[in-house]
Amino acid sequence: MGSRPAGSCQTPDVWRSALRRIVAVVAVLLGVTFLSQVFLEVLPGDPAVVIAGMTGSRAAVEAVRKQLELDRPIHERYVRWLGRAVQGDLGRSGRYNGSVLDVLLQRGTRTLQVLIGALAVAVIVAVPFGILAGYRAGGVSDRLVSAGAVIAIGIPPFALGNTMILFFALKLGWLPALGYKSPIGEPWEGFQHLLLPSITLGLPLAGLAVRALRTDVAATVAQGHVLTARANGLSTWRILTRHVLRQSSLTMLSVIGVNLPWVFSFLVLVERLFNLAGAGELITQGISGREFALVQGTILAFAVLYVVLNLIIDLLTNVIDPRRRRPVLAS
Amino acid sequence: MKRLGPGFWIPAGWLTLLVVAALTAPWIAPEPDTLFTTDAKQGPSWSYPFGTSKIGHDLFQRAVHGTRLVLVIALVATAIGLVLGGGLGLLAGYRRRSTEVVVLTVMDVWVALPGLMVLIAVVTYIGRSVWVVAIAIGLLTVPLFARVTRTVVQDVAGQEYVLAARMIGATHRRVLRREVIPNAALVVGPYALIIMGLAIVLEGALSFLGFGLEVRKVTWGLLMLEGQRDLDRLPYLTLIPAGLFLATVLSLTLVGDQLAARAMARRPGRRPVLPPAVLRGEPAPTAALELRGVQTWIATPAGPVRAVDGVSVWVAPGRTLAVVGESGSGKTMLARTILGVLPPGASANGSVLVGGREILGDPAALRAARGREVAMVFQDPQSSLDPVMTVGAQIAELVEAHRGASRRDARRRAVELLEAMGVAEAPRRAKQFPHELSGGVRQRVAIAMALAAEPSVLIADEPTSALDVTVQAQLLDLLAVERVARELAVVLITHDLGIVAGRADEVAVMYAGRIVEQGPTAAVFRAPRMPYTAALLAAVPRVDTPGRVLPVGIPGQPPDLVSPPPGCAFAPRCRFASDRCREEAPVLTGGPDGHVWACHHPLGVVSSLA
Repeated sequence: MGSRPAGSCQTPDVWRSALRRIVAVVAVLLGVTFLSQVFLEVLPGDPAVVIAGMTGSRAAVEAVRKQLELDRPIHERYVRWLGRAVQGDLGRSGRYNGSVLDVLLQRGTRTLQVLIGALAVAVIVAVPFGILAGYRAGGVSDRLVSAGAVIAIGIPPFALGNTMILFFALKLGWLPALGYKSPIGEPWEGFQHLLLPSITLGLPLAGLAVRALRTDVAATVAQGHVLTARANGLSTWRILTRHVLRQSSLTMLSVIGVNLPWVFSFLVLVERLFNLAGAGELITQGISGREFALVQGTILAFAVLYVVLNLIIDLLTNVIDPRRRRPVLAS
Repeated sequence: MKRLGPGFWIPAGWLTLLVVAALTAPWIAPEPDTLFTTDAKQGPSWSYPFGTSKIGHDLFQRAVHGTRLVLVIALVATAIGLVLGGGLGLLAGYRRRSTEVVVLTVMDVWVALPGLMVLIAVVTYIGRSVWVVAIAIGLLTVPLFARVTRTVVQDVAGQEYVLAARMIGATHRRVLRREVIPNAALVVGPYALIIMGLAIVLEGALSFLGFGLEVRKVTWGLLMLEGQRDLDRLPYLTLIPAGLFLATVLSLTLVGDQLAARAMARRPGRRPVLPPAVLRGEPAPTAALELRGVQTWIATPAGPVRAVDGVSVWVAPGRTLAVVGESGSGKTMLARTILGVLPPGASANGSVLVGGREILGDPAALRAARGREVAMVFQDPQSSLDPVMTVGAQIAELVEAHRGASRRDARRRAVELLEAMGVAEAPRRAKQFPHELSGGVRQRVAIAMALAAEPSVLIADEPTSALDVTVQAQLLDLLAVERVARELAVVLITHDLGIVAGRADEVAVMYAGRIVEQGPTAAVFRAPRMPYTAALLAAVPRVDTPGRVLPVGIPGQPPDLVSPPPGCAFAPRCRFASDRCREEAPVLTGGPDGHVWACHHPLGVVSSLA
């Protein structure tokens, strides 16, 4: 009991939670990059030989090995890579004949657009259907939506993408099948090119989000304050948009955050499927060509993206739920 | 428990079919590598159910052999994930503390790895055999299993019966084997089916990207890759394997979902068949609120419950009616029936008139009346406010919605209302969230919300039960002031007769969904007729009667409302009960002063029958 103002006593809590978050972020970034380093290390096959070419002379192989620092122990190489990465130097790519960072920046914008498109698809689909299903949990609309969500989750992206290309691009001719156009120069064309990839990538996520939202909406609707709002005569629309959706979107957001690595995974697939030449493919190319710098750089880029998106989700969560941003004083 | 329907058996049948196809592949598809060159590029037909490829492979035979590989990989991968992930989850969930932190941190990093990319690296460097692919996919699913298992284990291990088992000296091993693991398996088992679907998708993605199994090992994903090149001319090459993926992954998810739902299973019952309304009571032209023969039914697994059974009461403007009864007497259901905010599966009939207009069963009239004509304050101010909105915004929202005020005016009005409710520093309080306020202030906010649209009737359901005694009195006095100032008709619902005295004009005592005694407060308190009322009064602790410090409870339990006794519902607990009480339900009768009671043997009244 008691209603003291938050005041100065909140500072240590805020600092502690900020600190905890920073530690978590650093742990994920270091962990992912170090794991991939170890991982690349233990895989059979000598990258120096691959890069110098099977026919390369012994001296050539040794030169590549020196240049790639493969003669040094793994932890030392990791620390050096890390030191340079912090300064923005991710190494060079032989295949693209340029710095890894440049390649990433150039291809990354497309990837980012598809990713944002996919997240948009997920939210745009999830919110109305999740509310519809959760508000009348157990009813006909709930069953239809839940069945739809199962299908959306269950569709393998390659099956969905190919089928959509077949119908919307080849049979109906409504949308372009392949390729990328910058939405900055030609907004409409760019949007059309992004639509099918975004749906392909976003629909399974939408299915997961719908289920999370539906469950929370069903729980929130049964809560006292919704009862109060109904009893005091607020319209259903207002109750749903102002009282139910806000509180119920917390789990949905965290479900999206948790599943991001899978979205990244299928990004490779979608980029290949729609011939987008994005950043996801850099990993497959880097692996095939034993270009560790390219693989490491791309993995780092995705890890950063993962961390940043999850931070955004955390911030959103704090904005939505005031109980998380202030110390609880009342009983 | 609901029986499994076609939504379960059809996908389960498909999965069985796949297993059978995989087992009998050598017989039903003996020559998957034979080229029927003269029949190349043929669509599905009787001789080639899935059609033939560009160079003449029988795709049905290839798909059947693919099924074998797909299923083996999915099963092995899921088994690995289940054993390792389940073990880690068990460890993290049961051990807690540092073990949990370590496991969770490792899982956080693990799960942040983009799985498909890891897979590609593995098959590129280590090899493309079935085992490598299966093990790699299995390792990727470990954190998924670990997370789910940990949550369930924590849930189970925290249950009272497990704690109790620990306390009577059961060993960890025994608790794990007897309680934790069986319960976790109920949830994790179905989850494994869903993960199996993920494994199939991952393998498909790998093959589709050209990183699939070694040469001559054809899986569904490879069929899709081959078909993609001819998507425009030979679409069946893509659509058939896509259909196989979709049907299989969908079936796994559906079966897994339904098994999971069964593991949790608790489903609401059916709607009861409504009995005809019973009308009773005198019409009251001046009433702000009038109920006539209100009945409310709630569906429960045991059958329909008659929560409110023919209640007829009315309240005049500026007056207070107290509805009193034990918990389970139906008084809260009565309140919810008036405002049409019943729980799912409940239904009501009878008549609820607000200002003479029927609102029960008329959704438009009900919507128009809620808030503007009748408003409600609930028992628990903790849960009756939206936790993620400032209290000022919550009040303002109602002012805006009902009075068409601008947002700014509504905000100002909200602060005024808070001030009127006796909230100190109202402008600052308005900007705070419910969790920052004390219970008493929260309830003042709830009352302000109810009064925001200036209704003529206020229903207060145990408005002070969750608060401490001093705050209780303040709030009840506040309600009294508002009642007089606004000519408000108040229905005060409470289990505590002690707060009724001096605050209510009229009292209605409820028992088992019926009103068993009703009348002017003074009359009922002075001479309760129904033994139940008398017992309730005796249970009120009194300061002015020395020597009787402890209140005496009423022995026995309220009756089973699924199959209520035929006679007086109170008879089993009543010491005056006769055979007549047990057979014939008494109706409300009484004197000219408006004091009525439903009793065959009213206290202090000479009975007409011995």
